[in-house]
Amino acid sequence: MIALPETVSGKRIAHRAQVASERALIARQKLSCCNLCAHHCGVNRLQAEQGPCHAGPTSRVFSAQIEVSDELELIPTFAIALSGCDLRCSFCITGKESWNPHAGERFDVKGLADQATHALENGARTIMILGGEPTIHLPDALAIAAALPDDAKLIWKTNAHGSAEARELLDGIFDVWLADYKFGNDACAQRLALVPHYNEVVRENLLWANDHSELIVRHLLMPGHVDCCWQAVAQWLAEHLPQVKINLRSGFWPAWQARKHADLRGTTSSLETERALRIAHDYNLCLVE
Amino acid sequence: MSTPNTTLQSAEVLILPDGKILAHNITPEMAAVLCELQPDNQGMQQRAAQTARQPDSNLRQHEHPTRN
Ligand code: SF4
Repeated sequence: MIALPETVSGKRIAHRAQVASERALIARQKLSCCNLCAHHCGVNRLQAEQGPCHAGPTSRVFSAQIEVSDELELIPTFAIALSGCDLRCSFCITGKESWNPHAGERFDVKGLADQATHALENGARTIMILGGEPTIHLPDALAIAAALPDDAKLIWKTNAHGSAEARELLDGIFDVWLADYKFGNDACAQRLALVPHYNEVVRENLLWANDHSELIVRHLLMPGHVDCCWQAVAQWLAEHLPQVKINLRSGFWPAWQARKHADLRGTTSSLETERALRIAHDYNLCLVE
Repeated sequence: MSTPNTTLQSAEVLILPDGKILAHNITPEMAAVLCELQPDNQGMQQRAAQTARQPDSNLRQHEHPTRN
């Protein structure tokens, strides 16, 4: 167990910038035996050892801009996308950058904080930190939180595959966790994202995030996966997080390496989308756009 | 401060045979264009109405279009 400077579960922490700055240092030390995500590979990233994410001690940024395609309550958001990820989703829409932590530009905390602050002053409602997967770059993600105004609304866009250690350092820093729940069974997760024990890890993260911040869950509807994935996700959410906001996204397209899988060579049909919406309705889920 | 990177400045839109338009990582500028293409798309109208000014070009990093 690490000694955290301050932990206030369930709401934004007081003096967030200061706490984030202190935690960024702790997170950096943890790279010497990295357990930031649920792969728990324990490699020394400070000595150029690599785990499945291939990330080193520093992060890079492949996009930083105002966007309006996220949830209506969060936009316009200034979205900062860090390169690299611990999952290998073959349909990843930013696969080139998300699978490669060396893509993009050097992470420049001050430059990014200036851009983000400028965006807030010019109409952006929130700042979103995403990837790839930002958890694998926790030291820099916390460093950017430390450089932003205490009252900025911060969004943590995550694949929900982080470790308990990472969550502890994130507690109280981000106002909203925007978390993916992509696969409703471990076989699809293993085949399409090369990740074992997916459901157990994601569920643990979602339950934690719901207790410690505001949570919005995203599910990207995949062609041919309404029953095996969405139905199972919907059922679990209805049983365990019945009040949670869910964004059911239907805009799948066969990006990156999706065509390697026969089931992912097309888009989601309107019939599938209708059926998915019926499932959401039957489970009385709280859908948001 | 980094200068804009020209290698990744792009925006990706997929137009399906039935005329449906898919897009990701939509900037306010892109939302305005998509509204012109789909005047009946209420969702896009709502997004286009969410205006915010991008940081000046010398403040920006590069752009990339998409994420799930
Ligand atoms: S972030 Fe995950 S995959 Fe990457 S080195 Fe750490 S534990 Fe391993």
